[in-house]
Amino acid sequence: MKLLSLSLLAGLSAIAFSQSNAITLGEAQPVDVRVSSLFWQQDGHAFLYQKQEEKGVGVGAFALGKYEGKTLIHAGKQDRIEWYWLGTTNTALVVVRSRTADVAMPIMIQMYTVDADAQTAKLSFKESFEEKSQPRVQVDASPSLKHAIITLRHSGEPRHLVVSSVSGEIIKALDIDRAEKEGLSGPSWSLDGTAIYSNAQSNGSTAVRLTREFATLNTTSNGGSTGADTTEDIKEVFITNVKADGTATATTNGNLTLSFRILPPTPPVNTPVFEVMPSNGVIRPIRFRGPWDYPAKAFVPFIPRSQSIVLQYEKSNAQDNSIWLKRGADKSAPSAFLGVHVSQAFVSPGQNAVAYIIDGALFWRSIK
Amino acid sequence: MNNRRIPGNFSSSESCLYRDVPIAADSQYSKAKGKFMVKVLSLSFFGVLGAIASAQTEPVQLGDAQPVDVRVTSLSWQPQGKAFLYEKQEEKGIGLGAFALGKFEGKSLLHLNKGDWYEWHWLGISNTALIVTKTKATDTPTPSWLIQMYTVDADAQTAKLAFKETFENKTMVRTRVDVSPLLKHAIITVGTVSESRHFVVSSVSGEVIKSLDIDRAEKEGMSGPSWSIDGTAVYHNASANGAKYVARGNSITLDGTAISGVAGATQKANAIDSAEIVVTGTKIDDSSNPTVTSKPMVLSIRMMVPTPPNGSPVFEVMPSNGVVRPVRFRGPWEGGVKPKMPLIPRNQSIVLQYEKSNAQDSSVWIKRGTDKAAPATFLGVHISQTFLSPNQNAVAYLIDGALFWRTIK
Repeated sequence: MKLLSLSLLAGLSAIAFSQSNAITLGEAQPVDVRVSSLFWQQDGHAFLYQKQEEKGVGVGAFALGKYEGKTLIHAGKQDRIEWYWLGTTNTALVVVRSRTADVAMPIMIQMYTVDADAQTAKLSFKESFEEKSQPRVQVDASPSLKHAIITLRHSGEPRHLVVSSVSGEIIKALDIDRAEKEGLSGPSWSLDGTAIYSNAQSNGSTAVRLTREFATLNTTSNGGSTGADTTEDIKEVFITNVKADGTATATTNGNLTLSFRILPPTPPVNTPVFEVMPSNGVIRPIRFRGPWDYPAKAFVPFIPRSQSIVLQYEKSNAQDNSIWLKRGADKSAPSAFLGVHVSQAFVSPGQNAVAYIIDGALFWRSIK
Repeated sequence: MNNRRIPGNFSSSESCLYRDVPIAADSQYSKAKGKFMVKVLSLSFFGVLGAIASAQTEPVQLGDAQPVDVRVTSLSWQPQGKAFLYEKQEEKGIGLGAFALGKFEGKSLLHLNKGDWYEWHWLGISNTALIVTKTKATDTPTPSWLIQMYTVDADAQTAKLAFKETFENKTMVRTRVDVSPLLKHAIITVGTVSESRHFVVSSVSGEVIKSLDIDRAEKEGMSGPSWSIDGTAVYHNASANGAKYVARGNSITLDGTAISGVAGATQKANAIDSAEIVVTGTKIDDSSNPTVTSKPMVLSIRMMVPTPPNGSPVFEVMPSNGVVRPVRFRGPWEGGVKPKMPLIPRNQSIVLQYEKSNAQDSSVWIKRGTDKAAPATFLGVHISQTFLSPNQNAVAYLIDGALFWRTIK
């Protein structure tokens, strides 16, 4: 008991110490202009971003340390874009669903593998569909490997594809098609980051996973603050709109939109399961070595704070807002000034960097 | 009342004020008429003062900020403020971009290596510019320079290679570009130790074409170009008297009959027809605002050819093809009118606070004139450089290397 109390006290004092530590921000580095949204890589090593273009929407990639961002994919204004980081790598899968002039096959789905280090995008999949087939793409990305299971649902049977962890190519996975037909469910993710299909049954509760989880601050254009959505603020979220593919979204009382995914049941450790070989999508029977352990979040997260300011020169005034970063909610904890007129700030999941937008120009700064 | 313009240094607003008022002492009217004139002149004078005061109290209206590009270091406005060229740092060198107001974003059109030399010139009042680059040639047996010239269209955001030639280093090749103040046209001189060749940017095709006529005219002792009232180049038998210096800088253009008007200038190089000076301590004359940005600026000074008398026989270069023809000089180019009440960016240190934390930064404001009661308009915070367009219809500025622009009304 004494030992436990000491551990608890040590833990609390460590938190108090980290809250009182000053945050140091690196020099601001510009990335690109006309940027509207951003998606951090899991470890905060890179990000994808969406930018407005004269004739549509661009998707750019940037790895920290690169000279500037580069637009790699050009989509139409009405195209739907989804992006997924593959494991902890700097490679992402971008799915673009567009409408073409082809009367018979008006829906086109394209998938690109994007390398943020090389700032390249490779078209790996392209197919057109009839309107009535209502094609849908579901991407399950490995939590650690450059690998994903892609499920393509349309009028016929669902088809499965995998992103090969070796070549990065998108290849057919007939084994997964067969496994699903035989009633196996998946993918769950093993502790090695491989996909598992099994006969596991639900124990009555349904696991959901947040699939978009970066701290974001949106401020209104008139300089006022809408208030930051903090981890502490989100105590309860009601998911009401669950789609057939097991995804759902919920918007908190602020501006933070959360995306959820209903996970298939995880099999018990050491039970017989089928593992998808990440290199080629072939399935092999194994004993389940245990589930992927999603890392716990940083205990004291950095939170962007907005503060209205009044600027003065001689007899003239102007209003704007300043953005600050601080750890936790303790008022005595120091804050670091990020900038003025910041419309959006995106703290990386690893809290090693922050990206932010001023009048459409995207910048990033390291956090120490 | 003496409205005669007093020689000396004037701000542009003062110069304009005196230029607008007739010189009463030169009139041949009777005494009574003179009294009447004085009264009228006084009224005019106060009217002008009133207009200025009114202009000073009108706040500057700024449009929404529009981002252009990132990693930008410098900028050159088109003479009418319709477009600009800009230099940006790139991973492997320098990029030169073009942007016309209203375009979606800037576009880097030329890519140079670090250390490459270049210069840019707007052609008249068009949105077309000439960019001259001088780079080390890589495919020659002896050390050589590669001279390239591009015509850049800021509207189309395109660059077209219009001239390319390699010169051995020993030729000491140099280029000189004389730009028409009105037309999409320029006279280019490519000089070496042994010869001087002339080219023109055709006002019709935009191509760089040889002008043997100008070569011949210079060989025959004519000097030029001067610029006519129509914006055409003129060659004539000029004397050295009345030579005029024209200064061209990062973001300003000065002209006058001497270089000495630039405070704090140190001469870096000197030649018969050109010089380069570095201004190390420019400061806006406003003792109440000591935080106005003071930074080094490089100005290129060039001696211009004296203007021939009106009606005298001269040779005019046809801007479309570089052919020279004899004409009577119709008068010199008079230049654009500078704004009466210049807008000036002002810098103000600010202290920001959140809970118990503080931070310092600077805010930039734009206002007309120096009257403290005149309203200022907030441009932004953390701005490192501000570039007002020559006719003050827009302002461009840098925040951490990102370039933005806003309209001014």
